[in-house]
Amino acid sequence: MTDFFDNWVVQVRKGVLEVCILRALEKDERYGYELVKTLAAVPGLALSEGTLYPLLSRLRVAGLISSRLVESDAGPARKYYSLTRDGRKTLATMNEFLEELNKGTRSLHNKE
Amino acid sequence: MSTWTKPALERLEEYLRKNRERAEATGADPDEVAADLRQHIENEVEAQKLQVVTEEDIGRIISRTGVLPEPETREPITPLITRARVKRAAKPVASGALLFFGVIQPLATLIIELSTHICAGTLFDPLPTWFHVFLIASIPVANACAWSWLRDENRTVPQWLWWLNGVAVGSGTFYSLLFLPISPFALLAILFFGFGLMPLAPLFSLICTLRLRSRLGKRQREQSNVTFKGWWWSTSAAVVLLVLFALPEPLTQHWMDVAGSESPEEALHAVRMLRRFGSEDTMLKQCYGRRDRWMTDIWDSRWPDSGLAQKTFYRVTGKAYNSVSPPFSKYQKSARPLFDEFEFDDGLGGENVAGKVRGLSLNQSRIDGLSQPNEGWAYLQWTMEFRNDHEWNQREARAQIQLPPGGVVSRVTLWVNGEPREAAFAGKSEVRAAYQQVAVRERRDPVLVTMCGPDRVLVQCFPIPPKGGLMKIRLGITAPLSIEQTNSAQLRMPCFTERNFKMSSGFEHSLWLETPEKVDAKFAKLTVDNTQPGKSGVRGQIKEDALSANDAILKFEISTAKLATLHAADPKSKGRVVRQTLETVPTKMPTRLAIVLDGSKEMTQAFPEIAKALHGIPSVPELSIWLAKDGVQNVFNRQWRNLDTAPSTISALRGAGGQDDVPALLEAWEWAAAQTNSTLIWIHGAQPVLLTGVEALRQRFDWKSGPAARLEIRPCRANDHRCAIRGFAESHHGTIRRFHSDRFTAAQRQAQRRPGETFRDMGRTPAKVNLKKNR
Repeated sequence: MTDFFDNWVVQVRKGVLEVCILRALEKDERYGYELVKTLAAVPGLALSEGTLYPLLSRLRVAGLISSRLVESDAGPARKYYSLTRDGRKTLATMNEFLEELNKGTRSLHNKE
Repeated sequence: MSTWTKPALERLEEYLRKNRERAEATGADPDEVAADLRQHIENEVEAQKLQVVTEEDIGRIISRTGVLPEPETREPITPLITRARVKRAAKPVASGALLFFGVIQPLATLIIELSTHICAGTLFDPLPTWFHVFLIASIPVANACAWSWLRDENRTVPQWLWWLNGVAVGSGTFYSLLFLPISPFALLAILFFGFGLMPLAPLFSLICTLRLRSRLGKRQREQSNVTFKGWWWSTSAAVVLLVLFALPEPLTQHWMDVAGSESPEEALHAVRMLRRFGSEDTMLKQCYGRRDRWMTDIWDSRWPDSGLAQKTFYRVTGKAYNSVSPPFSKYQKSARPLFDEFEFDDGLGGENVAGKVRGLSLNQSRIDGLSQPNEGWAYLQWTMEFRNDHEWNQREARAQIQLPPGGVVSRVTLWVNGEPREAAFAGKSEVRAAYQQVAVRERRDPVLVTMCGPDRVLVQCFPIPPKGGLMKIRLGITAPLSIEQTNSAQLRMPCFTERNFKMSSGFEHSLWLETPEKVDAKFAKLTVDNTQPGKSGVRGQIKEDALSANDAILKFEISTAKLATLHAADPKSKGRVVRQTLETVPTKMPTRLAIVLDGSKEMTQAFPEIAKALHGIPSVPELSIWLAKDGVQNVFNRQWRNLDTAPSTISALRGAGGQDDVPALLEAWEWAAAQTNSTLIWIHGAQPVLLTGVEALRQRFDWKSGPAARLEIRPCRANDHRCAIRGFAESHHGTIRRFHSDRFTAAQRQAQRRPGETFRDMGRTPAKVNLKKNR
């Protein structure tokens, strides 16, 4: 598992985790466990709570997301995360960048 | 509430401490991260309902939750690239092999099969309908599109391509299974002889289609988060449609086999299923001794019983198999025929019309006629010219002709070397033996006309030379007019009921008929001329379809008062004269009236008219009506229903297929014969095929026809039913008008001359004189 491809996959996954979280929060606010389930369903994006919570905290510190506690009937209060205005702008920029990057990568293939 | 052990608490705190440090290094809020993780682990403990939380429990939860990796502590990247991984990565997404086996090979196979029918001719027809061609063509088309899309990485995979791939996979799966039994042989052929790719084309193309599906899916996932749906639906739809379209032929073959079962119930069930779902084309092929081979029949070399198939075809459709165009492949015009007409004529010189023979057709047809309505007769000359386009075979033209009711063939002419030759009349066996000798053995130019049923003759002439050779014959038909009302009479035109030659689509007979009385005919392209007093006529073209229809009738104005006595020389006794007069005789009400209705399909249109005619029936003491439809149905009996309800019962009847009327006739006969002075009216369709023997009926007729047990039988065609029923109705209101014939010598003729009576001695063929005179 230490070969080139696997290392590359780890790097790519790490690189896209933030944008995945922001995209997951683009439409609705979600609580932590819900986010883990949503992102874990994306093929190739293996994610655990231990990875998610530090990332959520970092995005909140950066002002891209906000959180609020909501009482739940099913158990303890849940912490809901949602995108801030800055978060939406940043996500749009990130999407645009990824699109350009994708196109650029493909054009390299065609030139061959 | 859970109780935490000390080691468990220590393990949790250790875990949180480690994550706090690592979170701080990544720029996250360490307290927040620790709080979130603590909350998560407590939730997990709660969810698992642990009474005592041990270090092991915490370790298990932590291992699932994961630890934030240490920042920037990874090992330097080791470029371990295996040969296999490099090879896989370098492999093109749309390769040449996919193009060859997925597009070129199936397309070439389809084109070869369409043009040569190599599989259809040797194993089974894989392309029985154009729908099958369309679905097979979907495989190379889908593969070509997918291949082209995959070569351009910037092109977005459209939804329709995904569905088209599904259709191609469905079609490929169906045909791979179809060709599976011969695939091992094809593989052996490739190994030993280097050819045999065609039978494997469905399997190879299916593999390619599945690979392309996989690559399309991967490309689509790379391009978009949206998952395409509907692939299974399109695949299933293709398979289901192929199965549904393929089913009629094997099912028809199965039911055709069952229709010959010894169990009447099973046979009848099969006939009913064939009427509803059967393929007429498949049934016709069996009538010509061919059968389609399909899936389960790949190794089946059984030949169908064509005689049984011909009877079944009649029972199902109500038509004689040789009264419709022979079956042929849809590819017949572009390639060698698969199911052409008979190459060899096994009916040559026989008493059956048999199947249509290749190359033979009716080239021209004209009908010339004269009618003297006030003398109650008409004379028609039907001239036919046959043409044989076969390359080398001489042909015999055979046809069964329905004559006008009561009509006879009074003259036959054959053109030999351009000269018309008159035919001789003799007994049936005598003329047939002569025909066999002259035509079939010596191959000279005879024409044979024999009676083959009431108002029906079989005409055959041989040999018609090949390569466009012609043969011309003429039938003289003398027929009495049916006196329909006191001021009108009608003539039903003769027509073909069976024939072994083709007639082009829209074939027209040329008609010219003259008469001194006014005439009426309702045919398109036929001119009726009643402008000159004492000289009326009809002329123009009649389409074959119109001539064969039940209403191909000419109507004449008559005056029953003027109906003259007709004289003719007696051909059987020299010097004697036959005189025919229309006389009115008293009649007696029958004790019982039995009506048997043929339940064949062609009768459906006649039932409402028959119902109307029933209104005129006098109050017969006992009336019963039978319908011969898939057995015997007693649809009306005076004893259990009011006579007024009979018309409504009859008009609601519907015919189906071709029916055997003999059982119903036997039952009706038994009922009618139980009383003397009974009448049985049988109203029937063309009845071109005899399904069962008639000896039982004949036996009853022989024993019951004497004066002691009078039983009158009135068979009539559906188009003459009004005449028959009205005639019956009139006759039992006291009197009946009928023609009476008597014979006497020339001297007696002079002595019996009545004042004002017109004598016309017209010889054996009366109209011959008149036709020449009119020309």
